[in-house]
Order: sequence, then C-alpha cells, then structure tokens
Amino acid sequence: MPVSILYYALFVIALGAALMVVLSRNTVYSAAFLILTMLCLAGIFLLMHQEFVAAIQVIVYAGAIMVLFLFVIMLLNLREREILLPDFRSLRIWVVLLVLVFFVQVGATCFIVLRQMRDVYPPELPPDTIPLIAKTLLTKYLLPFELVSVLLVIAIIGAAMIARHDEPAEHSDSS
Amino acid sequence: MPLRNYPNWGLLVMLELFLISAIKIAFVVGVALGAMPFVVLFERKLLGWIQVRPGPNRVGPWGLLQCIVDGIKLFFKEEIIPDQADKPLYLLAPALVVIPAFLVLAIIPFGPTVHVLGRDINMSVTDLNIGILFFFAIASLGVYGIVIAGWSSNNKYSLLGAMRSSAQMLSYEISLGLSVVGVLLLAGTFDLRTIAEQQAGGFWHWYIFQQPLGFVLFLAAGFAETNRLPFDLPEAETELTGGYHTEYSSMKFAMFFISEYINIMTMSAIVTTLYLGGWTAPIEHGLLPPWLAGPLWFGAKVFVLIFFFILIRGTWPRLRYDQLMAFGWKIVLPLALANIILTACLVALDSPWWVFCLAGLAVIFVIDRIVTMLRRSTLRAA
Amino acid sequence: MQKTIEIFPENLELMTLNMGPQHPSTHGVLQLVIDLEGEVVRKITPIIGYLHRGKEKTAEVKTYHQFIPYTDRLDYLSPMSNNYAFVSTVEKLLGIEVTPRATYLRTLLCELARISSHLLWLGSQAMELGAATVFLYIFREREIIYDLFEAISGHRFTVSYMRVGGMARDIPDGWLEKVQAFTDDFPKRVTEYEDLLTLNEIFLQRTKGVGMISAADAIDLGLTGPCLRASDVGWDIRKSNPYLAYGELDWEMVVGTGCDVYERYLVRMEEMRQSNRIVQQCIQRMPDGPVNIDNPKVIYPPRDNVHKSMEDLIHHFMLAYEGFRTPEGEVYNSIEAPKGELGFYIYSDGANKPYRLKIRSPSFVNLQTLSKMCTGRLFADVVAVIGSLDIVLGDSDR
Repeated sequence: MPVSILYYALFVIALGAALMVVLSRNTVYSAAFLILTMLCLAGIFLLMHQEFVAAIQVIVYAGAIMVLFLFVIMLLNLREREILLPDFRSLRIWVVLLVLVFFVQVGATCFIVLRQMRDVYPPELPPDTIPLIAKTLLTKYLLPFELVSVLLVIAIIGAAMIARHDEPAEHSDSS
Repeated sequence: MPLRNYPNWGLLVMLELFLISAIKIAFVVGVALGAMPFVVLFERKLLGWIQVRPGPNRVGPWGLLQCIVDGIKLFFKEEIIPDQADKPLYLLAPALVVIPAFLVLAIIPFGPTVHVLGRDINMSVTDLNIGILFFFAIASLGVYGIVIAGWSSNNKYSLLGAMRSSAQMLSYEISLGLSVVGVLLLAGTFDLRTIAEQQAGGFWHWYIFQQPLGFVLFLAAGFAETNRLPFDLPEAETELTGGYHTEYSSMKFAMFFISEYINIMTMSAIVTTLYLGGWTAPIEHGLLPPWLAGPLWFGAKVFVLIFFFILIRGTWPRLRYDQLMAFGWKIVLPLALANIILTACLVALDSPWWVFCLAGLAVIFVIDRIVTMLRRSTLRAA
Repeated sequence: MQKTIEIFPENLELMTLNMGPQHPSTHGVLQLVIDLEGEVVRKITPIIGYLHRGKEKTAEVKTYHQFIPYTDRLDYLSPMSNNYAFVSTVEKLLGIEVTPRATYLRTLLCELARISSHLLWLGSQAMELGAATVFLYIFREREIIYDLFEAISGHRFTVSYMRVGGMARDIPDGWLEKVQAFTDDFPKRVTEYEDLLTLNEIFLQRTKGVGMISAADAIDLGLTGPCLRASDVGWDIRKSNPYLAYGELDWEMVVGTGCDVYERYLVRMEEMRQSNRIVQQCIQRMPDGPVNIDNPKVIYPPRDNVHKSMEDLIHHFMLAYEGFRTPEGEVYNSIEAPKGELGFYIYSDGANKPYRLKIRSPSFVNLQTLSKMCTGRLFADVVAVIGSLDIVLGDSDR
C-alpha cells in the first residue's frame, strides 16, 4: 500500500519537525520547522481526501500565521541571542504536571488514532466535501459559525486597539 | 484526485496513469520553461520600444538568443555565499521560491478534454476540485522563499526587502482571495476547468463582463503578489539595491529570476481562466480542431495579459511601502468585500449578466470620481 | 517571581543602514548613514568626500585660464554655468566688461545648461520613484543639447568653452538656427513629461507632502535654487541681482508654495519653460560683433595677427606661458546655477594664480537640508528627497 507508506512517512516527518521546533536554538529554524509540521498535517488531510481542510490548513496556518511569526522574529532580530524565557525553577511543579498531561494526551491520541485507522483505513472515498462543509456550516452549525465570526471581529478590534495604543503620537504618519 | 476513478488499480492502469501524467507534466514544464526566455526577451524589447531605444539586438536575429546567452553567463558566474550568511537556509531559499512557482502550473487547464486512443484526456496536469484554493495555498507558500532569502543573507537591504514582501504578500493574498469570490459565487465551484467551461460560447459569457470590479481588484492584487511595478517594493532597486536577492549570484539569482517570470505567467494564466474564458474561443468557430484551438486561444490571452504587465512597468512609478499597505487594506479589501455582497445579492435575485456588468462598472466609476475629487481638492488646497 | 518580558521595549534597537557610497540612487558616491526604526528614518548623516579632488587647492597652482577645465567637472551636468561663474569672477577682479555678443551668448549657454541639468534631474527623480521610462526620454533632448555644445566647443560634456574676456571661439554659422529648432520643439516635450507624471496618482502620492521644509528653515540652512523657490521664497540671483542679459529679457521667476518634493518638481518643470523663453529671446536679440574683448593682455589675440605682428606674438606667448596677472584684492561673485547659488571667491596677491580660491557650491549647501527633510519619514522618502535636492557629488565634494 504505497498510500499508507506516505501516510506514515508524513506522520514521522510531522512529529520530527514538531520536535525540532522545540529543540532548535535558533528561532527562525523553529519557525521553519513549524511550517514543515503544518505542511505535513496538510498532506495527511489530503490523503484522507479532505482537500478543503488541507488547502485551508496551508493557506491559514502555513501561508498566513507563520509568515507573521517569521515577520515578528525578524523584526525582533533574536538571532544568536539568549531567548527571553521565564524563570522555570519556581514553576517546577507546574512543569512536571504539564509534562504528565502532555504524555497522557499523546498516548490517548495515538491509541484512538491507531485504532480508528485499523478500523476505517483506507477511508471510504467521500463525495465532494466542499458543498458538504458549506451546507453543514450554514445550517446545522450556523450559530457557532456566527459566534466564531463575532469572536474574530472582537479579536481584530482588540488587536487594532493595542497596536494603536503603543504607537506614540509623533510616529504616526498621516499620508 | 484522479486516483479515485480507479478503485481496482491494476499495474497496467497505474502505468497508464503514470505515463499520461508524466507526458502532461513534461509538456507543461517544458512550455513554461521554454516560453520564459521569450517572455523576458519580449519584456526587454517592449520596454525598449516604449523607451525609444532598440532593446537587445546583438545576439541572434532581433536578439532572440540574448536570454539563452544570459542564462549561460549566469551559469558560469562565480557562486558567492556571504561569510556571515546562514548557510542551510541561504541555500534552501532559491528552491523555496522556484518550487511553488512551478507547482501552480499543475492546476491550470490550458485546453478542453480531448479523446485520444479511446481515452478522455484533460488538457491540464490535474483537475483538483479545490483548484483555486490550491492556487492560493501554493501562492501563500511562495513568500517563504523571499523571507528566508532576505533573512539568511544577513544583509540589511535583504532583510528590509524580506520584511516588506512578507507584509505585502500577506495583505494582498487576502484581497486576492476575496476578489475572486465573486467568480466563485457565479460559478458555484472551485474547479478551474469547470469555471473555464462555463464561460464557453462567446466572449460575452466571460466572467470579466459579469465581474468587472472583481477583475480589476484581482489584477491589482495579482500585480502585488508577483512583485511587479508598481508594487515591486521588495526588490525596489533604487531603494534597496536588489532587495531580498541582493546577496545572491549565479544560478541562485537565476532561480529568483526564473520564478518571477513563471509567476507572471501563472498569474496571467489564472486571470485568463477565471475572467477571460480560459481556452474557450471568443466567438465559436470550427476552423481548428479543439485540441489545437484551445491551447492557442489560451496562449493568446495569456500573452495579452503579459503585455499589460510589461506596459505598466514601462509607464508607472512605484508606490511607497505605507501607501502600498494602505491601498491594500483600505481600498482593495473593502472593495472586494463590497463586490462579494453585490454579487451575492445579484445572484440571489437571479439577474441577467448585463446587470452584473453595469453594477460593477458603476462601482468603478463612482470610486474613480471620488478619488479624482479628493485629489483635486488637495491639489487646489496646495 | 518572573522576569518581565518586554516585547516592545521603550528604546527599540535602531538598525543602522549604510546607504552608499555604492548605491543606485545616491547620485554618485554619497554615503548616508541612516538609523532606521523599522522603515522610519530616525537619523540621517550624509558622509561626503568620496569625490574630493582638491579643486580649491589645485587652483592655487594653476593660472586662471588653466583652471577653467576644472570648473567643468564641478557640477558636471551644467559645465557652461560653472565656466561662467568662474570667468565672471575673474572678470570682476580684473574689472573688465565683455562684449554684447558674448553677454548674450553666455546667457543662452547658461540657460541651455539649465535645461540640460533640469532634464537629468527629471529623469533621475522619476527613476528613483520607479518610473524608468522618463529617464530614457530625457536623453533625447539632452542628446540635442550635447550636439549643440559639441558644435561650438568640440566637447559634448566638459565644454571649457568660456574664457576670461570672452569665449574660446565664435559660434559656427547656422548654429543659432539649430538652437531655434530645438527651442521650438522643446515646450512640446515638457508637456509630454508632464503628461506622464504631473497628475499620475502614484507620483502624487510619492511626492506630495514629502520632504517638507519651511521657508524659514530653508533660509536658515542656506538652501538655494529651485528647492528654495519651491518653499515660497522668491529668491533668484538672476532677478535680484541681474547679471548677463537677464535684466533685459522678458521672463518670470518661478516660485512655488508647496515646500515639498512635488512643488520642487513643478518649479523645475516651469523653469525649463522659462529657460526656453530666455534662449529664444537671446537668439532673436543676438548682437553681431566680436565675441572677445580687445585686450591681448587677457585674451588671446586673433590667430592671424599672431602670425603677422610681433606684438601679438609676444602677447600670445606670454598668455600661454604664464597667463595674466590680476590686481591684488579679493572678490566674490555668484550666479544662479541650475542647482542653486554657485559662487567663486578669489583672493589674489597680484600673481598669475589665485592665492586662495573658494567655491560655494549649491550641492554642498543644499545637501545639509537632507536631515531636516527626512528625519521621521519613511526610508523610501529619502530616495525621493535626494532626487528632489538634485545634488551632484562632483559639485559638493569639489
């Protein structure tokens, strides 16, 4: 099954890249590996025949959000410098707790995913998913959909307010 | 996914699929790469004619071999890697620029479905049901090559160019995506082949006539997305010397160069497919077989758009960074949203095509009047 | 418990950018050290001297005539004006008046030089804003002016055409008709450029309100030329202190009120039209007669006489061998060069060379307004402002 080989390969690359995000000393490399992770996830979606989700994954996460990340990293120019981190020693107990939660999560996810994969893989070819998504979003999940939009608008306004507040008056350029 | 049509794939079917795809890919990449030197030459010639000078005319008749000679020159140039550059990323960046440029070629339908040896073959590398979304996804990845090139070169001009481009492409992708929604509402699909087929049967069916506003906005955003004048800030020569590719030489520079022209061609091809009817003929005729007429019409339309790209470069100055952002966020984006609302209303009312056309043109006219009035008042105040 | 993480510290690190001396839009070898905050210019320091050739010191070992070719290379875009500024200063020191024909010819040449210089400014200004086409268009007209200069002086670029007391030689037959043909055509060309730029939305956005300098600041910093007149100061040496034939001709001083790059553009465009008018009037009124004064102590006698008369031969020899001597004293004379006030100061101890020569070059003085115009603006504006200042590094570095 060449497709499942691809599937596992993408899994491994995604996990490896995710690990490198944390382990890289250079923030730009971290960001680059995060992009790779996103792309691998998109590939996995694609293999599940969820083309729409894959495309959105690439457009939103890899294409938009990560560019902003890189933008900020370059602006701050954190290259080859000590990265600002909080003091971990006083947080020891929380660190242990979080690591525990993390492993439980990973284990559970692996368990569920692997079992599902055994059951349903290869997944049945769904019909064209885009009309399906559109229909469910605008009928069954209309209220959550609208609420999320409102939340996003609030976030945008908040971001604009914060950005405006930080700007000293004489810097603003009217033209 | 083409694979879904073959639930029981025997070895033969797989081989056949593979062969057909390989031929298509070779054809598309070959045409794109083969046309590129001529696009470059055409640009230089046309710029020459605009600027009362002959343009390249030394190598070969009409300078036809100029670009090949330039390519050879670049190939033999010394590769210089700056001492302080971040080497892995520095080497990776040109590839990151070229790959997305070529990937987009995969989804462009350049001809109708033809019947060869008992098989229906689509004249495109692949037909995705998310077609236009794939274009946006890949286009949004194109920025990484530029950003990483700018950052890893460890040159301040490069970094400034990279920061400009990341902000610029991010802003204009949104406008690009939103301005195309009008067409999607009319077409009811993301599939580029279906969109092109819907415009068959005469030029009055083209979406440019139902979406004049969307067309203008898409073209403007497309100029920004391809970093062409008047939006060529990331590589603004007079400010940033070379922008993000200042530190690149030899074939690595050629990679940036190739990808720029491939991007122009794919952008023209996408605009052609979305708004100018793709491969369909402006007026139905039976003079040529469809497998020949389709690609020829497609090429002709793409050529006209490339001509327009060059014409703009020959005549306009460049915007400033903040003005570019203001233009993207304050003019193109709201207008694209307005276009969506307008189109949605008209689609809901089931209006004939000329209502779409008039409504779009009316919006363009009103905006033009307002801008002119504002400009007049500031000029008078001065 | 935690260190505060300051994401945007008050004192954001500034990025220092070295612009030049090798950079496409610093008009030669100007270096600018720019402190950038993002793309906003916080501080800008011009560093000049990369084209310093020690002209003022050189003048002290050259006779007055020998120094004329050096003036060509000051503002190499308008060598005629530089020639005139220098020889008129020496003439003032000597107390001589040139012939009417020389006066009108010099006026004509100075204005042709102004047109030529403004044309190049127009091209580079437009190119710096990204419109490369204008730069190639202006060379059509400049080419004609080059040809005209070549016809009279034998040089296209560095003409060295003027002499103390007159000109190197008289103009050839039919030359004035060629100039007439050029001036008839030229206003149409200016209109062509204006069609490309004046109401272009992008050009307006890039230039309006950019590089502002108030009249008071401009005067304080010694700004002169079209840049000063664009800041609503009606100061033109041709009007305020008429020299050559300017007082007798009908032309208008162009003054603008916008104080910005766009206004400087408008002022220079109109100045080209006015210069064209002056040239046309000069052609109409061009007096006949000798072009040189009759003073063999200062200017070479006619070639024929050198072969026939002993006295002229001696004069020729002495002039060639050690030049002429000037009375003791000091003199300052300035003209309205295309870029601003170009002045020569000469201190003479009575020898055949200046004891000290000082050049007040417009590019040098105008350049110091750059910081005033650019601080707090965007990086891209620096390029537009440099273009509008119209500096030439040969002029500012000397």
